[in-house]
Amino acid sequence: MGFYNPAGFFKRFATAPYALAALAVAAAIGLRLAFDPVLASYSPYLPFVAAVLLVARLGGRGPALLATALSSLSVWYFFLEPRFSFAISQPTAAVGLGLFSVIAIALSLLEAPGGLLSGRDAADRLKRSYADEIGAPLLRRIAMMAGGALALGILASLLWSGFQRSMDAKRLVDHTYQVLNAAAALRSSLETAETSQRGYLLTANDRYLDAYESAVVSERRARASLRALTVDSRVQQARLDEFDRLVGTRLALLASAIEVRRRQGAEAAANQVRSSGGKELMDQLRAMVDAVDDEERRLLEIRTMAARAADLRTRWILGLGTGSLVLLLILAGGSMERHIHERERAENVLARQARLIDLSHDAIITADGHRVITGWNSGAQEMYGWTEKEATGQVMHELLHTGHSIPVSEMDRILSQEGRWHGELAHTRSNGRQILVESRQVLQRDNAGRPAGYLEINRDITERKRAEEALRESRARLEAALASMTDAVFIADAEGRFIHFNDAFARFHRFPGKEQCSTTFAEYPAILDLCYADGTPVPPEMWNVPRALRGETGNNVEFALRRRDTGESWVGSYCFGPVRDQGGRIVGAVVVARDITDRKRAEEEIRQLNTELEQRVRERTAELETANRELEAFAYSVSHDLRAPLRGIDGWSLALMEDYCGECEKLDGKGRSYLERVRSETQRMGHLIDDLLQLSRITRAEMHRHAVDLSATAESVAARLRDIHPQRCLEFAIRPGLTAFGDARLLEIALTNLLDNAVKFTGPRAHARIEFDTVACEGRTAFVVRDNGVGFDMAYAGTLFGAFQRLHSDSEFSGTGIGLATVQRVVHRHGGRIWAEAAPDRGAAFYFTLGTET
Amino acid sequence: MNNYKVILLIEDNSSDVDLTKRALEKGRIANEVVVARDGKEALDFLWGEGAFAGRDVSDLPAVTLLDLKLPKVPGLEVLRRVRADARTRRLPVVILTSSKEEEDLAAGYDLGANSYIRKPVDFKRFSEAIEQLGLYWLVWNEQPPKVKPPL
Repeated sequence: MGFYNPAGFFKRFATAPYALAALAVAAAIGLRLAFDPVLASYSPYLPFVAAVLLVARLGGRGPALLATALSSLSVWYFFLEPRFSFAISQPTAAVGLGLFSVIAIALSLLEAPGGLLSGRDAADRLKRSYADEIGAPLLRRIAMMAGGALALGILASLLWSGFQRSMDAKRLVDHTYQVLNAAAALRSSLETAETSQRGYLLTANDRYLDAYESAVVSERRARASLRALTVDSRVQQARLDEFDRLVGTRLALLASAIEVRRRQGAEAAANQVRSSGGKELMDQLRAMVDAVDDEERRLLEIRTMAARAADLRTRWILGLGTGSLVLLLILAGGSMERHIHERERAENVLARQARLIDLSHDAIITADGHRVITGWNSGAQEMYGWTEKEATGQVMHELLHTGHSIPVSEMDRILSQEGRWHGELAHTRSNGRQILVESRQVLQRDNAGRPAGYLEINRDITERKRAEEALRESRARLEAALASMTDAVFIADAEGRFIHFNDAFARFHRFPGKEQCSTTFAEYPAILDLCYADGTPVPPEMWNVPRALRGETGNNVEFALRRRDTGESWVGSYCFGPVRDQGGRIVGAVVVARDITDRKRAEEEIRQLNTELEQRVRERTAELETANRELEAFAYSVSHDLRAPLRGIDGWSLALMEDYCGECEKLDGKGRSYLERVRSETQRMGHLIDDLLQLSRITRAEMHRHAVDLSATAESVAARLRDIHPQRCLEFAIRPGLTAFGDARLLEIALTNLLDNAVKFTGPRAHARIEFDTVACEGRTAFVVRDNGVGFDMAYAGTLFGAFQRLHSDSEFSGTGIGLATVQRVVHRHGGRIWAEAAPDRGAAFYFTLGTET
Repeated sequence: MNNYKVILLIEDNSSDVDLTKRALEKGRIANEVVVARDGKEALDFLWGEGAFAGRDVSDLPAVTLLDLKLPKVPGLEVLRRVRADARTRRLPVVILTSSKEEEDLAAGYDLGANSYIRKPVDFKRFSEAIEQLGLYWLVWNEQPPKVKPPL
């Protein structure tokens, strides 16, 4: 993510903990020196351990290590014997120093919070950014600390000179004591020499001579020492010169007395002693030594006082200095704590902001002055497919193949003039897909005003653009669709304002154009009269828009309309309904209106025509009914009146045959055969009449439609046919379960005719096979009666179903030629169709459909 | 006893009359055949009116053969009136006609015809039918009891 670069500010800020280290060590030195009179060279380390701990806690690892180094050196210099030098007199001290160093380093490493002020994690980088913001006040704090350090230096030098002076005073006092000692030693050795000499004089014992000799030697040494000690005092030196002369004389006297004793005996020696005046000399010498002594004692008094004064002053300085140091430390520590506190709070804020930045789906990018990418959030990674690592260091527009909506120079000009720019850019993702982004950019400048970097936030608007485009297209389509419609379409919002309406709307309401239309519903009751079909006016709240807004829908609702101004009237047919939002709330109404005036007129005409037509149909039907009745009457006469003569012809022919043939032989065989012919023709005529009657009956008969089991009907017909033709070998293959919806009686007649035909035309076959089945034909079910009979030539199939049409001579197959016409009549009355397929000698198939199937 | 009963033939076609009579003869049915040439005449005979005034109307024919297509009063109307009149209510009536119309059949039975026979063109079968018919109605069929005249 790597946001802001470490700024220069931070470098300065970073030295603060190191200053703290130096300060703490200095304080430790001061503290320890303060206790010096009590502790001397014992326990020199304690304050330094405290200092290292403090620095490690507040300043981190680096400053703690610095404090360790400074502490070791300070202890070494200030407190290890010999003090105030980097020499070491005792090996144990060296070991102690080493131990301290190791422990202090360990403390630095363990106790340091590990990157409170240093480190490489995100928080650290935030700290640096934070340093950018709050570095300046810190600088002031650091300046204060530097002032403190200066004061500390002054304090240390004051202390130093105080100590120095105190030491000098002490050295002078010691010197004085040495001089006094030397004087005492001189006096003592002089007296020892005299005593020893006297002893020898009295006893002539050589033991006294030895003591004498050594006393002379020590007197010489003491005198030399005294001279050396008082070399800086001319008064004392002068005294010593006089003393030397007197001592010489005195010693010579002592020596001559010893010589006299040895050679002349005790008496001579006593005389010599008495005469030589040695006692006076000795007194003089004593007086001189006393004078030296007195002088030195005077000096001692002065110097002791001076030393005491120096000591006191040093202690004051030390006390005050340590006190102010401790105060300073407390202040610095408190300030540091406060500062750390603030920083932690700021860090938390920044960490939150950083997480927020990473939460963003927008790409948030920083770049330097040359647009080289320095920061890249996870939104950018999501959007462009490049990871932070891949993107960092790349030039922005090269990585993303930026396409600009305006010239780059223009964009740069705006950025440099106004500091910010926003607009749309085309970018290319890592997978090559192009996306459209909405970009906001800010130019950052350095202190000199030069472009230092760019901050950029990009949002992917590809989908939005697409959706906008789609919306625009669909809007255009809607407009085009509305414009092309001949129906008036208008969409009103919840307040009845027309937000969409088309040209047809204007035409429908008799406005000259779309622009002249009134666009709120409320205006229309003043413009139009709206009436129901019966002429009663429609109250405005029952007009279409208010009804739709109440949630009602309507379909083909017709109203008569009239313009109040022109009086023009027309009829409209309306469809309307509410427009709802996703929550189901009604937000508008949509109404479609069509001018149906012409249609209404046409309908009226059609209605009139229909009425006329119905009248005509009624008349025609009456005519037909009359004709039908006549036909019926005719058929009745035919059935009744035509048959009666036939019956007469037949009856009388038979009577002729019965009465005039046989035994009486009034009529020969030929005559008899003629009579037979008369009778056969008569009967044929009878059949013809019967069939014709059936045909006419079928045409006239009323239809009673029911579900009919055709299979069962066919079976019963087949059984009847088998009975009629017991000599024939007839196989009927009737599919069971075939049903139809129709008139059972008529269908039986049709099936009877078809099956009878089949039986008839299979006459020449030894084995007749007749099927009744269904086949699928043009999506419908067709029934079929198929036989293996003699068939016929399809060339004549056209005449097959006409009455009296026969394809076979009567000598081949008897028949009236009415059967198939009857079947066709039945099928037609059921709304069906009949047709045949056949070939000579190959059988025939008759197909028929019935209008209604079950 | 039935031998004395008449057979009433209501038929306008003389050829049919003669052929019917011939068929009855052939069937050895010797009962007298009274022929009415139209419906009016038939009703006159049955009710003893008109030309038949004074006839004992309680003496009902053994069977009446009724054609439907008749001048003056049509066959079905004759039947309706016969059945409506208490005196002739029980008269056995056989419809003998050329018509095979379903309506005629239905109306005949609805009006109380005792039988319905269609005259075939083939006279042989016609004679057979007449023969059977005569035999049945005159020999096997029990005559209805006489209707008591109103006091």
